[in-house]
Amino acid sequence: MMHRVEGNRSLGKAAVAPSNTAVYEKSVVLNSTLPAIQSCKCSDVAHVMSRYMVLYINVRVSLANVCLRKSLHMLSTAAEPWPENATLYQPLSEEQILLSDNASSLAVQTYLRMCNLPVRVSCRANAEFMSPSGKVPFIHVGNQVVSELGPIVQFTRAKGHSLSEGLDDVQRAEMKAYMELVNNMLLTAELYIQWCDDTTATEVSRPRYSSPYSWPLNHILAYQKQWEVRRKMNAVGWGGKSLEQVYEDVSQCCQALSQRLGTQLYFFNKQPTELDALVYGHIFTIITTQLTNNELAERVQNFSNLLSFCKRIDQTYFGKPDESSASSRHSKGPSL
Amino acid sequence: MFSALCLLLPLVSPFCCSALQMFPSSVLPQAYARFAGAPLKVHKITNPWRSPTGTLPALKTRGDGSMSQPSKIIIHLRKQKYNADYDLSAKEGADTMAFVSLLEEKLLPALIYTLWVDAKNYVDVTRRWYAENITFPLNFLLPNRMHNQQLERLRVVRGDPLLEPGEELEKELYQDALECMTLLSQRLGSHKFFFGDSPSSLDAYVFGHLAPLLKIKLPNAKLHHHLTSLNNLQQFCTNILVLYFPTDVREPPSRKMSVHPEGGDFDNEPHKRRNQILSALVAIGAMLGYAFLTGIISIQHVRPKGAIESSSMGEEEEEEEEGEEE
Repeated sequence: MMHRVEGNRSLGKAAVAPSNTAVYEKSVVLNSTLPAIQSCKCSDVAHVMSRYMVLYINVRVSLANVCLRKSLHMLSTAAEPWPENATLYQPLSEEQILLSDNASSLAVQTYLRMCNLPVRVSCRANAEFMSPSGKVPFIHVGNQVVSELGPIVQFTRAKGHSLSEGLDDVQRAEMKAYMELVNNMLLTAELYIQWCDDTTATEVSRPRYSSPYSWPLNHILAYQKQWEVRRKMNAVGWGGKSLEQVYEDVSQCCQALSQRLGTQLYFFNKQPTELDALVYGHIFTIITTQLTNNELAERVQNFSNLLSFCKRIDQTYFGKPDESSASSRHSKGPSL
Repeated sequence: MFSALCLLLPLVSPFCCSALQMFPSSVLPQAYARFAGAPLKVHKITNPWRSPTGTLPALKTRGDGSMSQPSKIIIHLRKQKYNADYDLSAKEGADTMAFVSLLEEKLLPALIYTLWVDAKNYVDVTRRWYAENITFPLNFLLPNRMHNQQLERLRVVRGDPLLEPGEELEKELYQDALECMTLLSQRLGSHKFFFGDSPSSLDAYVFGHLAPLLKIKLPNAKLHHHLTSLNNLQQFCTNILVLYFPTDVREPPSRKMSVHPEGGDFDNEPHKRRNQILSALVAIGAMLGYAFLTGIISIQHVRPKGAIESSSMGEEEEEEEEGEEE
């Protein structure tokens, strides 16, 4: 199972990865040959390991070929209609999912609802390892797997569903720029607070992240993830920031979004776009999630037009009139 | 107080000793300072360890110490009342933030890739500039160290520890970068600057990221070709070069010379005579040392008796050695 997972992840960020079934077939091949290796009475462990590595590399190569064929296949099947059984995968919503993943997942769900595309949400403890890019959420449509909002938007456009058709070139450029602003500032700040603030990491992130796993795997995976995120923060220049500076960045980002939104219904007049889905996903998750302290939520709550924007989208697309019930639905996020 | 601002830049330049430097991090603070009218003394140094922060570029001020990240430099200049965004409305300020994020997320990784990771560009251009301009022991160490750092940075940012430079990665990065340039071109439209009639910090950011692409002649120049196909963006960069970097625009012919060493690079080499003398001295020293060690030449203490014969022998041998060297 671990190797199927590894092989799957090694496909990189290809927008369209092989379907689960294709990967599964390969894993069957791997699993059936495993006992053969184990049964040969080879006392030399290193020898077994080297054969195992060769096998693993072969599987990776064949997976890459499958991926290539599938992406070629995708071009011809792009026009197929949206199937009924489309599924969105995310980590366990009750006890595992973290603020940043929850925000991204909510953004994708909102986007699909705005497009009027039905999707079934499926919670898996290993969703992160099933995803072709290693990031959640991802959707499984027909025989294709697509992860993250950007590629999903492209994928639905190929199928003829788009929210940004009515925009002119300048507006589309601005929309893309603001989406990058949210990813660059809000998402990075969420990751920073989750994994680089020691109190939050110890009390919320590590226990929640590793909740489905038993000892010692839970500690290994949680620290591995934390180490990964911290390296990323150093690479993007956030490593030296203090918590206060990060809160200040969040305020600035919300200030910019609030200025841009003004008194409009949506960011681009009356028509919702993928930017609205993304902003809603992040702002709504931040204000409804209980972390070790309320500082992050309070910073966001200073901007009243963003709050009413969230409430409006929540009522329109999730059909829960009062926010308290809605928040109880989503705030199963990282609460203590 | 203001005259104490002093920007330290790496002395590695596509424009052959002009003020405009190679990397976005270097172009950006300069462009911003010129847009905002801040008096700035630019010093070019070859050794990043001589910079107060250990990296380049760096801004040295009298009161507040020194800083090296471009964004911090800009914030500092803003605090000194050199603000290029003074006329912008709040919404335009928000747009600036958004487009800066777009540049950092989409264009910067491709820029790093094309300058530092793409094998042909790195070996033919980037490493050569560094090797030619940095002093002796560092010119072997620094380029490789920076190459590895930048590759590592790309790996971490993309979240794939096994990332290898290759066509697939290049395709993904360039796709993002081309889209980003097209979006910028659409946003700019037929205007001279992004907001109004005077340049703002967004113009500095965009110029900082695009000028290297436009001006550096790289063997693998996909990004350059796309940029030149977007007429308004190219015009935007040329405009800023003419208006704000008038001394650098005259340089391109000499830059071409420096890229092709066959065309007279040898004559332009600084300290040519000094280097020749130094190498001759080193060679003579090595030969004499060898001669001493193997016993071809030996110095004997002058003895009161019978010393004349042996010492004259030694002198003859030494003269022979010297004659060979010349």
